[in-house]
Amino acid sequence: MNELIVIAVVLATLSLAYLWVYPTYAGRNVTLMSYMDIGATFIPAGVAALLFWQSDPVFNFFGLELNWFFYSILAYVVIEIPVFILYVKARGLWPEYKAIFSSNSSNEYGWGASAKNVEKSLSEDKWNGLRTKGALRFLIWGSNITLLGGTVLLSTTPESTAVFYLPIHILLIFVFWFLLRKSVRLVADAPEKALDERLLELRNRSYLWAYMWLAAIAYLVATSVLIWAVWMDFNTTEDLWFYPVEISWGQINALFWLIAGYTFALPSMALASYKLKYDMVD
Amino acid sequence: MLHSIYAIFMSRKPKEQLEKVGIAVEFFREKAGLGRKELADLVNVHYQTIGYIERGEYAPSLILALKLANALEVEVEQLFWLEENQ
Repeated sequence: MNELIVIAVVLATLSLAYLWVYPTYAGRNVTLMSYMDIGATFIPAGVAALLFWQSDPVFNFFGLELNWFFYSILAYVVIEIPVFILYVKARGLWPEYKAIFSSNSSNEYGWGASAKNVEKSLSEDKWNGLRTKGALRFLIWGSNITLLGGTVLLSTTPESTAVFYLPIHILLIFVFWFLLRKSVRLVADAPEKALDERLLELRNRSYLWAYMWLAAIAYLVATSVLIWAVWMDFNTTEDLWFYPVEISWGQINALFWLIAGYTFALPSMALASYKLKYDMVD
Repeated sequence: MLHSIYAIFMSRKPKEQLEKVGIAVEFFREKAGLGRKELADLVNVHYQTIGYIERGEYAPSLILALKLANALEVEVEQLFWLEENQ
């Protein structure tokens, strides 16, 4: 019975996605459609979380026993395959998909931004409100507070609270990532083809900054683990070689979204900081 | 420790090189009756890049300098030159 509920949610999500959202908002932009699809994959999991988090029943997937999370993801992926093939075939989108994976794709598609989208973004003024000094500062601080604060919140609150905050946390990460990308006109995620030599230099510099930030964060995390291990040694009479670590589902999520969030947003965040530091605001 | 890491990674490099280069792109662009956007389209760059070059905040590559000279129908030395004290 529980399996049928999840399958019904999957079918409803797929109907909405393929009959309304993708044709209306993505059109022939398969990159955008892919992002939307990744988001849609987690909708049944989110609904299943609300329904089955507490009771945690066993789901049967052709003899395989799974929990609600893996069952809803697997059910979505399996049911989606024929729907996806039919949709792409019916709309003649194969050339666009092939282009993403072709050998020339690094020149055509950057980190989730196509040359066409970047060129469009470079000439639009619709999002200029996000390109002021104040807005850039707000976006940098906001995304960092969301990522770090959300991680602390998810790690420290009880599971029952974490399950409600998790979708909000994920949504906030994506909203800040979207706004950050708009604020730097997609330059940080752009393919080479779409940029002139100055913008290319700017993009490459932002990656250098992003790498340095990431290196600093990784170094701090590694140092903290080392300090924690030494501290554990001082607080016990035994000579510890293995360290017991207990980690909850909420903490795993917190860690995953911390890394994923910074992976997505760091290049744009670094570019926004670089522009602020060197007074290069549009 | 944190402030040391910040100081090492984020220290600002002095903008010396560009200050000693003479730039006359804006003069010849206006003389040619072109806007920044029009000149940018001619040399295939973003219009802001023209602004950065004109203000001396970005040193173009040799290829872009030659393209600019070509588009403005002047010699490249008329657009960019080394100042006397170098």
